Amino acid sequence: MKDIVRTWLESGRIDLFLGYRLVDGHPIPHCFSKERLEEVEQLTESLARYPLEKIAHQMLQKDPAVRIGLMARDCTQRSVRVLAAWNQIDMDRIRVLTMSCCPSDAKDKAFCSYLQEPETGPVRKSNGMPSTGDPDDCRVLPAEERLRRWLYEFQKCIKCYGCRDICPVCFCKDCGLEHEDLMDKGVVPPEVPLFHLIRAVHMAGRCVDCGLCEEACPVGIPLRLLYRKVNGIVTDRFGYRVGQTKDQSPFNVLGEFSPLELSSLDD
Amino acid sequence: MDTKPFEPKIVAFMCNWCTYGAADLAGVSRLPYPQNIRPIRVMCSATISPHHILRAFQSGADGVFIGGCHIGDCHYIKGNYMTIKRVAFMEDLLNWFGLEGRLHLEWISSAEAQKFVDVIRRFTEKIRALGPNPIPALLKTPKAIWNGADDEGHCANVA
Repeated sequence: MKDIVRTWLESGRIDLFLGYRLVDGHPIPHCFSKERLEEVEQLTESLARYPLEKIAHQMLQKDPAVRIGLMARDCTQRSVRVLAAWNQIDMDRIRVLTMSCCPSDAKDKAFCSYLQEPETGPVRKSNGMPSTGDPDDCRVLPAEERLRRWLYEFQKCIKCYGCRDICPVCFCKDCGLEHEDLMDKGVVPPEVPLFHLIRAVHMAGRCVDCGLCEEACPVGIPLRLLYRKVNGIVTDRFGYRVGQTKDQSPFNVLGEFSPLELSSLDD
Repeated sequence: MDTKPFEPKIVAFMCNWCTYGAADLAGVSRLPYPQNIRPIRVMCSATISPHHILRAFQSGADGVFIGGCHIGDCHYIKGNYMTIKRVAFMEDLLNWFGLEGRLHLEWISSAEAQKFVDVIRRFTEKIRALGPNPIPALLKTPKAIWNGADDEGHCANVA
């Protein structure tokens, strides 16, 4: 891997390479460049995950001419495809270097350290939603119980915006969650379930199921489960699988008529 | 004790060109319909974003009704294509989340005053049977939601 990066940088195929470097034993994101080739020796593969594609996106916003190499997991590749589909990055400016990684609904098979054991203690079990498994598992609970449990989870929110800030596919310049007309300011917890459901709606047809939001959440809200559900609805209703095509999701653009039926009042 | 029967509050988003016309026609035709709806005229049903639907439920609406033009009749050509996609999605999400059957979309042209009256009547009855929106009540009883710190040691900030 180090050799590939060195070759890429030396040959001028890329100007910069985003990867990880061990600093005091911690793998942190680092930008390798041609000028400091000796640093490539410190390039490391690890379990640490940061949204490198988000950093690349921000760099491209500043300098659209720069060519960037990325150390990319499967989720990174999916979000690169999503960002390209939404015209946020130019694929010609990005080169990905694949590394092995994690299992997810968005692909068939993989190996990773993430999502091994369900982390459900007694309080979580009696009050909250499980953070792993299928989103439809909770259907066994009556509707009111599901609602109560989600409100419990959402009320833990301290409105740190960590889920949004870490999200590799959150690229809007103006965020609805910070808009004064849409959301009350200066209140913790935020209005629930509005705050989280709005974010969930925005994730539909866009979420790459990387799970960084849930890792970033300081109070352990099972956000990945929620976004998995909204993505699942988009897949079921519109047959769209995020990160597997170059098209934008039909849920988010006007497009042609989808043959959906109105639900009846008698159901 | 409050013995008054439960009167649902229903937020009704109605498209200016079709459903609002139907409501107008129902008025001038003197067709009676339940007074539970709070009509909001919008220029197109496609202008109703999931934000509006969620905001209505957050603010305590017991039901949300959306009326638009029939497919092919949209004043803006394709607006209602978007409406049906959004509502189909929102129905699935709300059902899963625990707010079943409180959102309804119907295509009502401006000539269909009788259909408008029937739909509003049936939807109101449906919401009446479902009972009040559970969100405000659940949020008012934090102790029912909080049992203390969760398994990761985070404490409740109960007011």
